Amino acid sequence: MESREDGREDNQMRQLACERNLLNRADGSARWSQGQSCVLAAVYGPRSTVGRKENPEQANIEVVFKPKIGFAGVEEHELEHVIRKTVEGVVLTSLHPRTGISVILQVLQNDGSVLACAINATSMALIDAGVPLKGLVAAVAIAVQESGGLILDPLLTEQKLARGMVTVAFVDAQPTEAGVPTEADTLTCTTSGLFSADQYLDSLNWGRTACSRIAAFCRVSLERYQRGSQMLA
Amino acid sequence: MTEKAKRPSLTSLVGQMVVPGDNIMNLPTDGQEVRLGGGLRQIGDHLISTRAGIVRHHQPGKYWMEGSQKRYVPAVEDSVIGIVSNRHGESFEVDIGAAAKATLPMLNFEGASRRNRPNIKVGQLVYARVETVHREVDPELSCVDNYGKSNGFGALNGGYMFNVTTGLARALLTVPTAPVLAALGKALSYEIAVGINGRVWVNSTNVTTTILVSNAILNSEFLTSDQAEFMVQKLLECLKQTADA
Repeated sequence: MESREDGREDNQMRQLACERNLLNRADGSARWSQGQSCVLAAVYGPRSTVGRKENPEQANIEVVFKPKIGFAGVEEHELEHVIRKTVEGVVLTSLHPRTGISVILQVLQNDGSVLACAINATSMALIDAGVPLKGLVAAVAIAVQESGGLILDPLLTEQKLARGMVTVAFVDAQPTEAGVPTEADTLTCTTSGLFSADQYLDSLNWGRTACSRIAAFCRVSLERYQRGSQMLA
Repeated sequence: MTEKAKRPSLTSLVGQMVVPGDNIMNLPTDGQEVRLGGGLRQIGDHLISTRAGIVRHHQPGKYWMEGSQKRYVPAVEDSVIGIVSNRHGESFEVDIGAAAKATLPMLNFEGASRRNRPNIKVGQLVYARVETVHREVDPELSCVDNYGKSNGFGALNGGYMFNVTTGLARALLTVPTAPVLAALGKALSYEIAVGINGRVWVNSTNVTTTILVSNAILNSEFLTSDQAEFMVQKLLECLKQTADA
């Protein structure tokens, strides 16, 4: 097996880092980085909304995705849509009807897997804001190479050379709605490029394993922060 | 009435940190009553957390999650500090930091009647109790307790207000007194009102004291009781040095 340009194994993630509560005015914020890729997320709400955005049944979720340079274009709007659907799948929106929750994402550096990075940042910012959630969300990207092999958490250069890309997000909740404890639920899955069904199913399995490891990292990160505030009591 | 036997908590997670989606416990099968507070929900036979925080338990069978947020979600019987943002015919509109503005009827003040209305202006602070909360309607506040007495509630005149997290606000309201407030109280005299919505109001005869008290409180969030006392001592020394100079 030939190792990758940064010396990782094919199924190895880059180093994760997360910092929460950095923004003064946002209700919740987090900076998430996977190697050189880094996204800053801010969550505002549940706060009052106006006019047509107000939904009497549930909270309205709004996502703004800002690229590192330039204005948001079609690609960014597509990402906004994917992230909004992911957030709607995990936030208990019916608990805060007639309100709005805004998620603002700013890419600080794009070195591949930026959608996965953004979803992870959003998840931590939502937890920081205290928005009621179904569970921890973790996302990861898998690239299908020209040779047919899979690589986890691709760099930007690897992403450009890849035949296809899969980005998956899982909820790390213990029991499902039916009350049966399962390992993880698929929340979002977006693909691009051309690859076989087997490659797709393999990448889902890779994603599931990687996401449970990311969720374990989130847990440790949250516990460390909590220990700080517990010292008061 | 016979004395109720103390029930042990049904989960070993009490006092532990959990994350959203964690199974706190399974519902008891022997008919024990369980009451859920904020941050918990029931799915089938499981109780699941919806927020990151610490699981708390109180006799008999009350469970809730305690976390630290910036955004306040109103709950009945919370003491909050609000900013009067508008004056209607029969009520005030008050900003308590929640998603919706709260209403404070003019009759919910001690000794108020239709003739004798409280004289509160837009922009003034009020210390009030949350009386009703429902997700479909705006929360309602009251400046009197259940006996019709003000009991410390009402308009806050003068002073200085600042925001803290709900976790710090709750820590300041604990009994025995929070270490930072105890240390400040030994050396200085000041008035304080803490709203569980993360707003703290401080008043004293002297601006320097007010600034010192507010800074000490803001610094105390992640300090142990010894560290908090040391920090207050340092601040008081600085105050003394500037006064001497």
